[in-house]
Amino acid sequence: MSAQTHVPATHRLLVVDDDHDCADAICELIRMSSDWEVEAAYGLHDALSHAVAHCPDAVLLDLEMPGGDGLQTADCLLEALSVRLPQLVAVTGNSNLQLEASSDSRFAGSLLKPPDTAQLLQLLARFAAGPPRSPPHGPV
Amino acid sequence: MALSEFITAQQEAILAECEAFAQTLLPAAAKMDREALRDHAAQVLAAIALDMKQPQTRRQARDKSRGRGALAEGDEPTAASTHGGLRATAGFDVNQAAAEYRALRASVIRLWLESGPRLGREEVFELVRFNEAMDQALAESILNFAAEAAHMRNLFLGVLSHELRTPLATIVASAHSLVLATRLQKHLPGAAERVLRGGKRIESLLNDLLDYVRSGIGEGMRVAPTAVDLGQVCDRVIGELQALYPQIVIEVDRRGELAGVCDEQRVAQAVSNLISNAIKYGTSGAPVQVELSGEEDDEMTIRVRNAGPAISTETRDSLFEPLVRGVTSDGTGVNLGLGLYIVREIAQAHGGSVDVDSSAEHGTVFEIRLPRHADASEASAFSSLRMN
Repeated sequence: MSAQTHVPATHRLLVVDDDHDCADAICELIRMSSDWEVEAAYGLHDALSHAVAHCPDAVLLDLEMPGGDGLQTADCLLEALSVRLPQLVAVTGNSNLQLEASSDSRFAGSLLKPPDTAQLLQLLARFAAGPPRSPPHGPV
Repeated sequence: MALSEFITAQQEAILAECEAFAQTLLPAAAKMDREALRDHAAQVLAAIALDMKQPQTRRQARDKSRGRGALAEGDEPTAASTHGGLRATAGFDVNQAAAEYRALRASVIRLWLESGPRLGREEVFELVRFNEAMDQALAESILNFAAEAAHMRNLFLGVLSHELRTPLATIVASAHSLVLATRLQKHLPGAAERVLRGGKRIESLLNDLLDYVRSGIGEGMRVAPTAVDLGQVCDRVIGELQALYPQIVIEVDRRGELAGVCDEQRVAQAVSNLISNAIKYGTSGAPVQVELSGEEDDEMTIRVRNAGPAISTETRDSLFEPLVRGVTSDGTGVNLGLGLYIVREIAQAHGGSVDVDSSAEHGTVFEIRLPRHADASEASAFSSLRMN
């Protein structure tokens, strides 16, 4: 057996926000406070190509971005990653959208900006401990 | 002819006069559907005429004069009430909304008197009834105007809180990282810069908000003009924006004498708003052209031009109204919808004006005209309330 199989798999997180500073800030914070591998994407298109290439375990998704509302974005991501579905977490400055996402089966969590750091890390710890998300937990 | 009958018979003439008046209430009236405007005035008039023909008790008369009666029975909103709501959404201020009733009242009475009625006890009594009904309609209209305005304010507060939350998220997350970094004796220059930018963004949102609130409560925008060179003011603004958007080319063309008297900070803010808009709403990556012209003795103009799709005529009319948000070239709503409103306030506070021209061929041009020597102004909001 090669040593490689004993190394715990790194968990990958994709942070999607059209506001660069906001995406970068959340990325840096999670990098510093967890062992997740974190990348930022600044738009829907960027997020889709990144997600397809790197199959993240979880995606933090801003719900108001150019080129589609948050729920459409979620659908696009889930469709593109149907082989290995990521955990979707909505992060939004819009309290109505946050409420909507909190009762939407596509999202494993929903956070109002500014996201509570402890809550965010707890969510990631839960994702890391749990089994990988299995299909078909797709769009309703 | 009895007044109530006169109103019914002369409805067309009365409405034509009122419509002409409403059209002077620009710019909000410009985006009003003319037919909707006329329809509701007609309904208000019909309701008043009908009310005048009904017998009424002293109690009903007293209630009506105090705005407690109702011109229509049942739960249906009255024409006057609908009218008030429409005026609020059309961007009328309360004075403009009320002015339409002044016009309606004046038109009816003037046209009726011109028709040479016999002025006996009956006619005076009818005139009183007419005024009571007018007052009732006005009260209903204003009540619904206020309710609609409150609704719009709530929507705006939602947008504001949303716009504040994103930079706040940046600041909170970056500050957390900085705390962790300090413990690890690491440097995070990126985080410190993000905190600064986030703070600046919140500050500028709140400044815009303050300007809006002040203008809304009639204080208007005050300007403190000093001797400045418009070219230098614009250079400073362009330098700042160029640092924020290094990939955008901002071309400047200067003509004539640009020395004048204006409020340097406010003019800089207006120019900054226009150039930022050109960057956000224009064709992505295309250069922004700034033309400064001081060829006239008594006037200086600033033109900001961007390539991009033409702005439709209807949108053009409402662009300078507060809380109107455009669609940016990358599709994000990135502001409170106060940028152009503040530009107009600044221009007007200087005794100047702002205008827009837009076509697919030549792009969109915003033009600010400023008197070369601006006076320290009184509140511009008062001047915008001035009735024609």
